Amino acid sequence: MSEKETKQKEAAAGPTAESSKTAESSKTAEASKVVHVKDESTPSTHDAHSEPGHAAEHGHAAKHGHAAEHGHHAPNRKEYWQVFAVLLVLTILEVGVAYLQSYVGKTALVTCLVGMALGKAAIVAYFFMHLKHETKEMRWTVVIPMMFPAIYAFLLIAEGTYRALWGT
Amino acid sequence: MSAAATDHEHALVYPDEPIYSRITAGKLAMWLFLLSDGFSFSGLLLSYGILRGSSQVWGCTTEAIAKTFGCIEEPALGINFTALLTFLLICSSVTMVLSHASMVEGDRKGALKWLGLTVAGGALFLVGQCWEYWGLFGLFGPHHGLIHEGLKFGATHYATTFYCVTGFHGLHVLTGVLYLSAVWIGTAMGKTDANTLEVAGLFWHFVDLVWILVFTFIYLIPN
Repeated sequence: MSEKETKQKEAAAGPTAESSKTAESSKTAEASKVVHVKDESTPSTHDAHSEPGHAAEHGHAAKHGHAAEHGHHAPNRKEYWQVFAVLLVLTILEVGVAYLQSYVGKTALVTCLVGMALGKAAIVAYFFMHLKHETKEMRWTVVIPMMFPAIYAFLLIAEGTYRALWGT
Repeated sequence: MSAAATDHEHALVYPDEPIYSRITAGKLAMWLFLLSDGFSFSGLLLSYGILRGSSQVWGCTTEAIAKTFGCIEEPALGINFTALLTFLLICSSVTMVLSHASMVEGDRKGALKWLGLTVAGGALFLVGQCWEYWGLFGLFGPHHGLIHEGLKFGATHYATTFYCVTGFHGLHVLTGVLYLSAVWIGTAMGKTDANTLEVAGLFWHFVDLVWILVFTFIYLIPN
């Protein structure tokens, strides 16, 4: 490809091409560091960026650390076990509540069961699916669409309740 | 392109996108897939709720109900056994997240161990579900399965929605077990990284999350 053609392509592609150009220009200096990428015993991308020089070039590591640079926050095993304990307790409570149907009103029972189930689902999404570490926008991207089926369910239940109570 | 340039591209940091930060393309794609899958399950659960809410009797599970409504008796769904399956899936979610944690820490052996346990948990869940449906031909006790006991697909809304929802979820568990097995092999061969495990983990946690709701709506909510 001629130099002219290359420049035209870069201009058309905008910032992405600009980034590639920067990467290309620095490839000679980086070559020795980047070789580590091919080390198969450990995760490739992590190795490359654990180099202080490389991280500084990208300007991230100093601020966010190695794991954060790749969207991987330092794992908190204690928290995972705590979440497991909460899920376990809620499951036992759910089963216990389900056996109380002879003693508790159906509305209270269903509200309690659905509340616990939604709570458990939210805990799994927030901690295990790492929504906790995502940006606010990413969280809303997931939550807002899933609210529509819930709203529809709520409307159907409200309509059913209205008909049952007032018989229209 | 030179080998050095190729290597460098392989190691590119995902762009620090101002809105979604450094989320990888694979992770974002998995989230979008999970949203669409979530809508599928929502559709199934909503139709289940509508049918259940509008029916006179949901599950002809006792002789008294059968006499009153003139329906053929069907088996009730067991809570205790399914609670065990729920426990199993929760355990497998923990092992999945620990597998990812090990990989982030650079402990590939640890990641393999936890991932292997996750696959085993998923496989056990499938065995449990088969036992619930078919009783595994009497191999594990006198239970002969819901089908044998009269819960026939297509006979009633109670039976059909049960098989549609739990069967669709079971297919997800099967997919998850196959997917995680492939990731386990890739990890053993040194071809995966923490991101691969995180993306696979998203799918597995979603399967667990959906089961939490299915367990409540199908098994726990009384008539």
